[in-house]
Amino acid sequence: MSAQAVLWLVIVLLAIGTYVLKAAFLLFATRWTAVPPSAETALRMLPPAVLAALVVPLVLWPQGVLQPLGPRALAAVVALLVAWRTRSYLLTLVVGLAAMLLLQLFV
Amino acid sequence: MGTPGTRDGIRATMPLLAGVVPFAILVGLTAVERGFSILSAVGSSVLVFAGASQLAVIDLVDRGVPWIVVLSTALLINTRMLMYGAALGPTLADQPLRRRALGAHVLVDFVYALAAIRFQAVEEDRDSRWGYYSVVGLVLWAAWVLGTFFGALLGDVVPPHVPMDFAMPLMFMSLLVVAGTDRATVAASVMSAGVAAVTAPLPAGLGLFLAAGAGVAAGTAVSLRSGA
Repeated sequence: MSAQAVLWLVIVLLAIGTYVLKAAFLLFATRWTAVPPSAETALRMLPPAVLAALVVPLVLWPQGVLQPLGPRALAAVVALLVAWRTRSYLLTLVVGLAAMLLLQLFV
Repeated sequence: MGTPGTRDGIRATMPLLAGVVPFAILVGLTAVERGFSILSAVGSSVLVFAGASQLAVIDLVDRGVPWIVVLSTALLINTRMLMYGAALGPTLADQPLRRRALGAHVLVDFVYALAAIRFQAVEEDRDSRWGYYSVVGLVLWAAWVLGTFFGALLGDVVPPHVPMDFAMPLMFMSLLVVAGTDRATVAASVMSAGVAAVTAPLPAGLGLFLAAGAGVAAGTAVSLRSGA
């Protein structure tokens, strides 16, 4: 299967799965809202945990090689500070890309 | 149209577009940069409408990760939407089925956040409540789809020396900072990041699940211990 075909397959299945997640309570169980507190806590931890697990390899292991002080890792530290201080997607993106461009020249 | 809810909904949505549209543009741009079609970029925004998972899918499919791993990862990212439905369910229970069916599709982070605040703060009739919810949801959806399309068209225009492949981790980091609202969620991300740093060379997907699992465990432990 070509990458494009795999992408379509995942998009269609993900669309169905995501709709089920969104709709489960709205359509079928509007009165039943008792998610157990422990399950709710674990659910709340999923997005930060999955996002962190996605970011770190992209930043520390570019092309599968560990580069803890490479331009990506350093630019990521800068971007993380900007994200934390400003909470702005746009500023994080712009400053992060600029830092990456500069660091590629010097590191 | 014309309920107080519709008018307030439009007013509440406009400032959010500044955050949503650049993100949508990035989704379209990244898809095309990685060699995927404009149609599939826009299609994912129309059908899936859940930004972080869409970006993750583009990246993982491009890196040749097996589709079942890609799908599971994306669904894990979106599991939080189950909670949104549970939280808003009681307030939307009196809406007709077709409204709830449409409303479910646009139930994303921003829509949940705005609607949860609105429904707590304002007493209003059924149609006004639906007016608010549907306007917020449909405007954000439309902006998301148009932004993706625009980004996909821009894809070929970005000069090659701009490291656009770095845009994806940058966007994930901004989302991560927003998701880290208390000690437990911060613990979840730090633990997951630590494990991911070590497990990155493992076969695609395995490291991700180990890291995310460790993160969820750590965050839940911190949350239970602090009694939150």
